[in-house]
Amino acid sequence: MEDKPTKILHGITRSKGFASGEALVSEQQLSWAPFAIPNETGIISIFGHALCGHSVKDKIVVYPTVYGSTTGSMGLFFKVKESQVGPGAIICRQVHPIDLGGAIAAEIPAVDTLDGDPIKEIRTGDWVEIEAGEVGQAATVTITRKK
Amino acid sequence: MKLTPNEQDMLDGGQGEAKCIAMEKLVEFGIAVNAEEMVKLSNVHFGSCVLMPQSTPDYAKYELGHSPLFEQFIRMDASVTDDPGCICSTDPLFLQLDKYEAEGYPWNHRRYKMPEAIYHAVSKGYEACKKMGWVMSQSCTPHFNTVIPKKGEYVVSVESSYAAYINSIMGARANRENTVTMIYAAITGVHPKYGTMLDPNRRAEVVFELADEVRDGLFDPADWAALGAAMAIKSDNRIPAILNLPQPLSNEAAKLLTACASPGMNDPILHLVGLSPESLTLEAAFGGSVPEDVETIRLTLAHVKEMYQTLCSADSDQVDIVHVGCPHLTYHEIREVARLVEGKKVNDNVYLWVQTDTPTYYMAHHYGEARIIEEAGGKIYHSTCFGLLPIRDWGDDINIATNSFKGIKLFGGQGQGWIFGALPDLINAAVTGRFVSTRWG
Repeated sequence: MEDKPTKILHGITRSKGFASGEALVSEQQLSWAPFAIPNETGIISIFGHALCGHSVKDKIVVYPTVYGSTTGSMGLFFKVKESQVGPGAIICRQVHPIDLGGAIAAEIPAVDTLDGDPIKEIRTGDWVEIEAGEVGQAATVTITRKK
Repeated sequence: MKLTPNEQDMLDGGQGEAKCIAMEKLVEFGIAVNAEEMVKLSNVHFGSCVLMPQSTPDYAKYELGHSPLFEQFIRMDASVTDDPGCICSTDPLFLQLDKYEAEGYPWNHRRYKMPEAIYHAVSKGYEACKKMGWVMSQSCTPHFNTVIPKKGEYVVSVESSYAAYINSIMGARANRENTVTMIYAAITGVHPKYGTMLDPNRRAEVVFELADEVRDGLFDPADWAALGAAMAIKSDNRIPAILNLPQPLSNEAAKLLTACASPGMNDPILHLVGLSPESLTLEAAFGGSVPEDVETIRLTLAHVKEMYQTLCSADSDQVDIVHVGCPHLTYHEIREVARLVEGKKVNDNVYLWVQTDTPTYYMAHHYGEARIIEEAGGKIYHSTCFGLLPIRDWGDDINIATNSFKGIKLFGGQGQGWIFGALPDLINAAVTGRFVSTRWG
């Protein structure tokens, strides 16, 4: 294998689960609301956002925290469970309860309070594996950088 | 979590299946956010649902995500809490139902018409929610006439700008609540106590000191929205305490200023020092004493003017839609729109959309402003948040002019050009089809 784990970060599980996928890292705050990331497309469509046009489908989406509408909760839930264009997991500096409610309902992992800044430690395109077994307990994030 | 005997009884199934399911979900969420107890609510403000089969064309486009959460309770014939101290009210949705066929409105215009199947799904959801016991306010400003929370009361609200207003101006307590647990709160009348409901999480973390030229120089609705935008961006998610606000501050200015919490801040509370019930002094805003190392940011008119530019993305002065009413217009704001448009004619190529809540809509009809706006060619309507419609399907060759920071930040990334302007300039653009800014000379 030419890829090898480059880093393991430790954090706290906010919503439990196990997931792996390609990272999509946003330096700007993000909203899961249907008018920010449409429920039928999963394509980021946010005013002034650097990642406009990118799909969140099956990605491990890494972002500082929420911005915008509270409908992000149900938008996250719906994109994962109903329209199948949602992320595999979310990693934040701080998971806001708006996104937490959505992640729990969507049954995807949500992790924060890592021992390194996820926005700096993880790059878009990295392969990320999350083990987040129990709410409030330790979570590990394994980052493999593509060569 | 520590539960009261009544809450425990709900959890144990003593009050039926619906409350049992709802309490289980609330406890699960409460544990996730480290809540120690529940609070009794005086208001649950949530979006009404849309009922349609998943096979409906464009299902994912119109289902905002929460209707599946309603459906299990509708199937059980469950009601919202019968606690007379707790009102369950609704946020606006896609359209004014009795004007579905009328032309020239956000849901039916030359670029778009809401499919009939969706209209029926919205109607069905409306009736089901009404039957559950919701007050169908369909308003993002229920605090101006329908639900008026008082100091110390607890509220859960889907509507961030409403949450910000009641925290900051009325002294009630609400988070920008996640929209998954709200249905459970409506069924039970309680919610985990966490976040901005707790004293330590309500305290100011940064000071904004307005220059005298700001205190004395803001008068247009867009000015207040721009000031809120500048503050939200600079606050970097810290709770602000604001010094040197004009006294008195109108309800409209307070609404537009605090609405910045919706698109710009995590915690929906701004301490308007001297006005907010919890913050009659700067010290009180910080919970007793002001930390020595707290950052103070001075805001000048230049910061307000700068936001007028930042919030524009249109690459021409052509205007196709002028939209006012995000958050919903008060009666006084409608009077001002009517005064500016009276005797003029909206350009054939432009829509002027005046968005408000139901009681205010009927006030404007009763007192005559609605007739003035309609005779000029504008449309006034209620129960609607036009940003929830699939604007992304209307084409990327149109420009929408507004005075809402919230509207642009939440809905403005779907391909259209957006223009942020003062009210006289917006009305002028509706008449001429071109936007010319005169606000700053």
